[in-house]
Amino acid sequence: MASAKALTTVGQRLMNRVGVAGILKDNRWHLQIVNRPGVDPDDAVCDVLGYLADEMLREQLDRETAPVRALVMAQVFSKVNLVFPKHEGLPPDGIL
Amino acid sequence: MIPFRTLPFQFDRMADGRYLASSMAGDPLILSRATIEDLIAGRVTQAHPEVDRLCAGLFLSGDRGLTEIDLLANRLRTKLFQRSDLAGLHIIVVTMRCPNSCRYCQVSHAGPGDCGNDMSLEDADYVVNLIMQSPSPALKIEFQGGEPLLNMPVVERILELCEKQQSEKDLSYVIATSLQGLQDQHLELFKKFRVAISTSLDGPKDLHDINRPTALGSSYEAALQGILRCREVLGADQVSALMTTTRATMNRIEEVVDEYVRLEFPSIFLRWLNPFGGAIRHQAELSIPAASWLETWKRGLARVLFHVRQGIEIREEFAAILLKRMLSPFPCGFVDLDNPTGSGLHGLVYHVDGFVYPSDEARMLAAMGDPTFRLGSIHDRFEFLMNQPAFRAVVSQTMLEASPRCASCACRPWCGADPVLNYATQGDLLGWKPWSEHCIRMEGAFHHLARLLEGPDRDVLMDWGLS
Repeated sequence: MASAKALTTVGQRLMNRVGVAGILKDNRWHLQIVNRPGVDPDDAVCDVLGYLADEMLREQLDRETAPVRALVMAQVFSKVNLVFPKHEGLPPDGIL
Repeated sequence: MIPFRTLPFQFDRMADGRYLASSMAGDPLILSRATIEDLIAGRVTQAHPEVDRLCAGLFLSGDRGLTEIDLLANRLRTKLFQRSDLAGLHIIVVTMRCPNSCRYCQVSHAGPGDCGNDMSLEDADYVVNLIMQSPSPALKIEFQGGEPLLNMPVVERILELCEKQQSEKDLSYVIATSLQGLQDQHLELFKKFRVAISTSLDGPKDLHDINRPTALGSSYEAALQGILRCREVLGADQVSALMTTTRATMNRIEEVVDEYVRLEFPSIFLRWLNPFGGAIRHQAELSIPAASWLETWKRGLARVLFHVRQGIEIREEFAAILLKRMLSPFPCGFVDLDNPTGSGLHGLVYHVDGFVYPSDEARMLAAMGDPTFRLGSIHDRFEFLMNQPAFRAVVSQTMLEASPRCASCACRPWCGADPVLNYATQGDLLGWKPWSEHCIRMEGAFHHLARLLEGPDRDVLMDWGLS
């Protein structure tokens, strides 16, 4: 079973990748597909389910490779004085 | 048996069910879902059918990973920090007057006799002084309008001042002109200062004249005569043309490509229409959704590749730019694909009224009444303009490695941020990616090119990307 943090990450990624809005409640994501002109709602549901499976894989990939990614990024930024913020959030439109 | 270690990578599902994946350094591979799952689960062994490609592409490390980490860091640093050319492009809007009434014009132009819409000679001096403060060793100065030929005294003044002031900088000049009103004395000046010509050609005569009406007759005929005259005096390599895709172009993109081949242009850029100025006012009759533009571009690219197979030397510039991003660590000079944003970092725009903007789109937005991205004026110093808090905020918020959706996108190593477009269309610098026209265009184009790289045109596309 995925952790609450993993659920949070996967849900946020899903909202950023496809046209869904969602809210995390009682350790479950409640998702709502946002209608898009020209997109059949049934297709949109299949799309979201497919993307959800992909996002679970991405979450696992991030977990497995996080130490290497951190090492690479530390090397990249060790020679430049650049600070940038990490944006975990979404523009307001993306949240129910 | 060698223990393999999975390195970080990004992946996206393609339309055919396979996955486009990129390593941290940006090496592209198309993989099956089974291979993606094997990689992530650590199941790839020496016997795996994809092991060689995965190791070569830096998706997999054959030892403890230390060599690959050094390699990844070096290549990523090369890709991210190519800022020795800081503000290398300087666009000077010398006049807002123009004889054309292009329906998609992205700025509010003035009539040819409408005085008071020109940059003054005094302001031209300030602009040159500011340009020369740029640390870039190579400066490209582009004259824009309106129609810059209508304010040639300022163009001449800037050219003379730049040549006089240049120390060790490598200077190059371009003038973006419809070529209406081109005179021999203009050509003499362009030849003297090696000014390249960038003109507009939207396709066959009827299509060009629909898009670019003028009271002076056929704008196509003026462009054609001007192109031939410029080639004769300046040389063919000094003349290029750009087209803009409108609703009227969509069903005729093959004819547009054929027209460029007929006129012996070595390249064509199948451009989309950005939502500024006239493109907004005439949206219903001109604009096409990003997805439709993408399909049009694919057809146009197929037509270009058809001609290449017949032995004709022509390339599609947008594809070439994207391929350069995919296949090499070097900058492509295309501001939309800079990460962090190329706005301001890539170059500056000097408007007729003396205000300075980080990009052409920022200037267009200001012309529509929203000066959000205005940096200052030509009377300010370069350091002051580049250190504006609002500008620094824009740059800091456009690192794709930290942007929602972009962080895990397979196209991220090759893509860029477009905060001005995000702001103009969504009211947000970061933008919400499922609705982003930038994402639809770029992701769709990268996926298409990745598929084409598997096919019979691979050698041609590799040549475009690496030359």
